[in-house]
Amino acid sequence: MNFDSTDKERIREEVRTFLQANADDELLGRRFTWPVDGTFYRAYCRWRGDNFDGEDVGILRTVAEEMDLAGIELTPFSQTILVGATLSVVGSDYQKETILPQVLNGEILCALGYTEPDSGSDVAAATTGAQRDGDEWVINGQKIFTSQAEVATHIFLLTRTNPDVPKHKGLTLFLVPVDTPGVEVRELYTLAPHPTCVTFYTDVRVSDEMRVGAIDEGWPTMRVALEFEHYGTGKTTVPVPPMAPSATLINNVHDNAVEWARQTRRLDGTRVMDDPSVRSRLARIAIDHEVTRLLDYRNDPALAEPGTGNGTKLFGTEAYVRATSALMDIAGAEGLIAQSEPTTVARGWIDYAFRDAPVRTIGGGSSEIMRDAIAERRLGLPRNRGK
Amino acid sequence: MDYTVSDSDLELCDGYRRLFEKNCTLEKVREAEPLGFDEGLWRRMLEMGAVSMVVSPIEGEADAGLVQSALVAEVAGRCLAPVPLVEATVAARVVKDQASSVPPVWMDNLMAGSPLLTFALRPVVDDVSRLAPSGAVAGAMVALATEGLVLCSVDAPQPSPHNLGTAPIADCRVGATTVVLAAGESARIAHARAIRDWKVLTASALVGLAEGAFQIALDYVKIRKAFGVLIGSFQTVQHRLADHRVALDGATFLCRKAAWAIDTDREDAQILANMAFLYASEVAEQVATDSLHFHGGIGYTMECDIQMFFRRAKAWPLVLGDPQSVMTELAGQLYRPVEAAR
Repeated sequence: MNFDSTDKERIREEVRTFLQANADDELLGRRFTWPVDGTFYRAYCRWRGDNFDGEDVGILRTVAEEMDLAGIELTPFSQTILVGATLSVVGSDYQKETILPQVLNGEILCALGYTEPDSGSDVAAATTGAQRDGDEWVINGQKIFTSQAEVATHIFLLTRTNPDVPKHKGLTLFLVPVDTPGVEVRELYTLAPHPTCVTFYTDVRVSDEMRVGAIDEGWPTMRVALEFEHYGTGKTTVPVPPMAPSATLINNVHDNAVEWARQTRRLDGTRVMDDPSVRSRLARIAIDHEVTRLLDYRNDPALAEPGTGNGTKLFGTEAYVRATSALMDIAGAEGLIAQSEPTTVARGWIDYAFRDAPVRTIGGGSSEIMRDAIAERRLGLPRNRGK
Repeated sequence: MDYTVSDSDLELCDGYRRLFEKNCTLEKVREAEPLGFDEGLWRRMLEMGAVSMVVSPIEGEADAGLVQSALVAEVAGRCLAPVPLVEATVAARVVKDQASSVPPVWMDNLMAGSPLLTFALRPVVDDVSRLAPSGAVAGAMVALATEGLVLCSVDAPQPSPHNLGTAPIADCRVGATTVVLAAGESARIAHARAIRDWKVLTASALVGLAEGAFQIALDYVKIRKAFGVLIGSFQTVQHRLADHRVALDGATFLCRKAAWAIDTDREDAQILANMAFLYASEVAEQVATDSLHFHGGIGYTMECDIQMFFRRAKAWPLVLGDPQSVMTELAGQLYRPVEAAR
């Protein structure tokens, strides 16, 4: 038993040095947008490849945490890595030899094309169709929440290849280049400063080489990818960083709120920070942060039971929602001022985080899906919904 | 970071688990009520070294740290063992730290576990520490008195008032034999450290309690039917259990980290101890409350075992006082004290 994380200090130092050299003020200043920048990520990948041979998940988490603290959220990149990890498990020889290295060196940036307008959490109900035509497949349909598709090079696309069998049986996955004719990307604006995307597919022709996993075996392939997405510690040589870095998100908004509460006086002259109720609410957030971090860093193989990754995602995102609501209350009327205004409080973090938080308990598997998975897979309770 | 429990610690826990399986069934816990003290069981634990391991009897062998005591407290909490493990361990740790001030006869008594040495949470006022843990069954106590931190006999032990946790809490009067372990500022510091240790061990016992309640609820929803189906198939039941499972994982890690931080003299040990205490208290109450609730009306009856967990979940941390004062203390440690009035 050793909860010391100072062994990660060297890595943190290296991340800081890397950022100084590669992230300009503009990138770091874009704190409240998704800092997707091909040049930066390619530099990051080269640096990662050079510095962290045989890296473990703990190191990757530390790297992600340090980047988050600097205001560069790696979520868009994490989904690329999770596609890479999936390829390393189920990919063809061609994909492992040719595509995977490109994923790892940042030439390929992926968006996830799972969700459709008519089927949210029920991912396997996808209807976007793929029909075989010689060595190619022809894809028609629509996806929603294909986040980062506006900058991605590829979409990891879930399609229906057989509509005449039970829904989990007739699915197939493809890695579709975004520049293929017939792919259309439209931005969809959200509560937060970062947009998501809707993507349309009209007679999109994809080579069979880009099919990931066997035909009609898309669900088992999805299970591999979802396991990674939900903080799973699946068997792979490609370590996947956390998708939803809840601990850092809570930490950033908490610390900025504390700084604001220390510097701000109310009309009666008292410091916000000296209000006992404010102090208690902040301390409660600090506890949730510590718990989130402990769940995130767990590495005891005995604890890697099915469903533990779902628990980490569930707890962290729910704690983030609680924290942002409490901090909005603490900031009061001042907290209503948007982060884009010069008079925003806590450097815009409270407004940003409150708007950002609700999607974290939905994206990457909603809290309800996480709870169902824990109930079924870890607690052995009967399935509560239809197949 | 490495959360794994060492093989020797697993072995230690297994020993107690085997003891409790046989000698601390919920039936036995009931039999020990309302006093809440099973002397035979405590004796067995003393023989196994539950207290003496804190001050190793073997020359050259490392003493057990708070981590080991915390792990045993988890095991004991899980089956609601009616034993003074937490307070006796805290008292032993104080005595160990102040060993140079302790007369040999007291040291021998401590190692033998007789008389029962407890730890008084509240300072002595008018010669009495109010509602001390195990005060009704203790022969001696470590307490903060006017002259400093003292080791003293308990004068004419008072019976325990009937109480929510069916625990032997009672007022403890300072007896004739008194040894001053520390005075002035060092007494205050030593007492604060003891309270810190008490919080971590109580939190660990609460995690165990919550695990016990959780398992009972989980087993029950897998056999109880309503409307023709298992109640464990209802989403509202499943989702609450899922939330509790995750919170319990978190509370377990937090308690172990706090104990580890104390053993390794980390700067944030005090903060982690308060966090662990507050969080484990909160989680244990929520888990026990829902576990009772899932039983329906029968859960509210004294016949049902779950009420034993429900009462203790609230009672164990409250022996210290209103948890909000711990939250205030934690905020002081995290955010520094309140500015002086202007």
